[in-house]
Amino acid sequence: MPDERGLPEGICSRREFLVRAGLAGMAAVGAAALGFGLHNRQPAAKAAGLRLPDFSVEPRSDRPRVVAVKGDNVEAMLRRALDPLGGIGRFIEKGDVVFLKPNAGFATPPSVGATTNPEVVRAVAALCLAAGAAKVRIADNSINDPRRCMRISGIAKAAESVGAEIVLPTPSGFQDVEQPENEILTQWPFFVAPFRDATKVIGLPVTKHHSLAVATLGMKNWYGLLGGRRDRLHQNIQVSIADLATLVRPTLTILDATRVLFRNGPTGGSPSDVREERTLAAGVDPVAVDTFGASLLGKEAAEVPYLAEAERRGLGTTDLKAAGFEMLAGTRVGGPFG
Amino acid sequence: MKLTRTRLISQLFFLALFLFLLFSAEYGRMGGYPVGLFLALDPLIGVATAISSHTVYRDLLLGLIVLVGTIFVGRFFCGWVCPLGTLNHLAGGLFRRRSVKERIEANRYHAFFAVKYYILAAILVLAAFGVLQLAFDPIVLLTRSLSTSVYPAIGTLSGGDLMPARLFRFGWLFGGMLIAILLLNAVIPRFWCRALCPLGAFLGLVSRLGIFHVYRSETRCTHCDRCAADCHGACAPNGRLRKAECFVCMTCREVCPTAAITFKGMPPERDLLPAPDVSRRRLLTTCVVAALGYPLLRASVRSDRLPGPALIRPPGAVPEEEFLAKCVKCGECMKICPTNVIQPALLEAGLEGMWTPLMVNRIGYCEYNCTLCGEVCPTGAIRNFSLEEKLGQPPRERPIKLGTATVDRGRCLAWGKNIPCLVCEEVCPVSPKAIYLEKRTARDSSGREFVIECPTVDPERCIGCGLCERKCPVYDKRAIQVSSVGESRSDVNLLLLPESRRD
Repeated sequence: MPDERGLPEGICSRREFLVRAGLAGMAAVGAAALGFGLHNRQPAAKAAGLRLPDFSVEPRSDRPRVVAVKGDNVEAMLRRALDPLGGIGRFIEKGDVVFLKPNAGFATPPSVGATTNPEVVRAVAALCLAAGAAKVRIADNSINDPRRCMRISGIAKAAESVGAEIVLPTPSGFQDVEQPENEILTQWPFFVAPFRDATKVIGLPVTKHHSLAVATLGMKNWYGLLGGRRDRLHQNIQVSIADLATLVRPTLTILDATRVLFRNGPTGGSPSDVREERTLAAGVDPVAVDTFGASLLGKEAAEVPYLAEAERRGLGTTDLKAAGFEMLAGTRVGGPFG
Repeated sequence: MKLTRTRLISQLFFLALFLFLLFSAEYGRMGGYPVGLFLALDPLIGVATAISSHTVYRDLLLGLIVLVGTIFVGRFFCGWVCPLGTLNHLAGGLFRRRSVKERIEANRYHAFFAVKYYILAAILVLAAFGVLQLAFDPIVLLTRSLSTSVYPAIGTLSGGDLMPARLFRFGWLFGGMLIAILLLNAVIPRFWCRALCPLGAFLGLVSRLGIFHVYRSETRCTHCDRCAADCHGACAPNGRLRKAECFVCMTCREVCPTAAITFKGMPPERDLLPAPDVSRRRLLTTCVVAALGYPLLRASVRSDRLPGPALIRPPGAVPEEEFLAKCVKCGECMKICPTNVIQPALLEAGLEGMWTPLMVNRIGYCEYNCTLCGEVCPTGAIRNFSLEEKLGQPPRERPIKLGTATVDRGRCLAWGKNIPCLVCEEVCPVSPKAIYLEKRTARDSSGREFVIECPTVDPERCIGCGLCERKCPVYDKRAIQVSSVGESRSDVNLLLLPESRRD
């Protein structure tokens, strides 16, 4: 039966036909375009990693590459150690953003020697700020809860006392870094947030025994910035540490040996595992610094395979003599060397 | 200011305070805040744990404030303070009916609102037998849902920047429970508060003694029923007031056009229904069924007599029987734990121990220098233990032991696959380490012999913290795992003879 517009039953108007056919056609074309647009036979390629800049200073033949000081006043020891290297002015310029990387891996008090002495952290941060640094930031991707590590190790308080900033790891602070010439750490998630806009990087490792790696010193200290499944690296820890030293080229390394965790490392747990060594070492050659650190643990360079591997790669020398090593004595306040 | 406006401000203030205090239950953020204030103020927790464990722990004495307050003015807690009540009130507002007539119907009393009294009776009877089932107390429920679900969800969405992105087994269940309770407001406003809440039932019972309450003057009343339209408790202010249901919300007093409704001291009781609407026979049946449940639970395999390997309790946890008589399952310990190791139990502790805290070392581990769970536990199921006690510093002889680690030599990289690893030994926090190295001569696939160091656990030194399991690189099923054997709090789950008697 025709309807009121005179169309036969079951027949739509021309207008309705055109609108509906148009919509259906557009939907079909749109779906096809979307499908073909998203179509991909390859899985999504992994985004390229970030390359960390080289923070190391120009080598100077007239200066030693590593020195150590034995004493009791950390601030005085620090100045005394930096003097032969050229003083803090060689490393920190006005306006620098300095990233200090202590070893804050565990939520343990300073007395057990598993973390960098907060006195050392405070002294280095204060010295950088006094040399004109615009900002000093301190960070570690700890094994225990990071907030508690910073607090219980005393490093948070040290930072607050001089106005340095603590950067805690959050998921957004990590990004892949790449180093194609490495063997293992060619591309790996890394705590990059503290590097953002940083102009200088100073490693502040502590001197510790480690069953598998033999020693935890300056190069191993960068392990604390790795993310991802870093526990797998123990299957080839020696090469991994050399890879880390290839990846991170610091401005300076200041090795805290005020206390040495000579056994039961790297966690410690008891002050009886700790020897008061009252020593601080500073150097621009990370291999030489670690060679000296190993000697405090009673190890020859040859007994620490990552030192040889790093030396082979040209990252430094295990020959302390060639590095111009000096052991400076006496900073006892009021003592004979005052 | 109108009294109802003051009430709304009070509700929002206490809700905000509750959310803030729970947010503050975090390392470095606690700063002396009483993070468990609302749990302490909840008198049902105090009363039920007193019945089940014969003690009133620490701050639980604060419950007296609410208890005594209720004796004087009725269920003010429900109407003015309870954060879950306020959430229900706000959710109810979303589903508010337009017409007065529909609202009168929605806010009318139903006989099934008495269900909450039977729930309360079952809780108290079981508590008398030492079986504490307070999982559905409103403060407990809200604390648990926020701690294990809502806050972690916000943490996840914010990428861990706003709050930690913790993970919880069955987290969705606890959040879902809260959503379901709020959605029930679409059926009847404040459904939870009126029909199910055991704390509401308890306060309803107490309010029977109430000195002050709402009173309607029959001579002034014009029977317009406006008071019944927005009544929070469905307590029939337009008829004989059901005193046990009244939330003291004061809406009836505000809306009455003839000022027939007042809040006054000692009005005659003959004009109202002071007691809850409970049938004696049903109450008796409920108590008998609950009492029958007790021997059934006791006759089942229970974790106090036959400890399960996965039931690793947090440090400071009291012996299992006492633990089940004290833990209310609020989840404060799960919220505060910095490593996320404390998880709600499923059936590891039996039916009655469901949602109590246990340690899942695949997710986290017990941090050596940490005592936070004991600091926040509101009922002493986890004692407020000191660090010296946990670490076994003198004069104590031994540290608190949670369990013992065991190496699965087949899965271990060093033992089973001849690949050096030793992560477990590296991270072991005790001194001397509880994992020592055994040198073993191995042969690789080409037959070449070499020496490899393999980890072995010294069960005497191991404290069961689980850091080794957490960091073991054999990621799916760890090659070193902690089980509860040897835990200090048990006198059946034992492993070793004392060292002095083993030579």
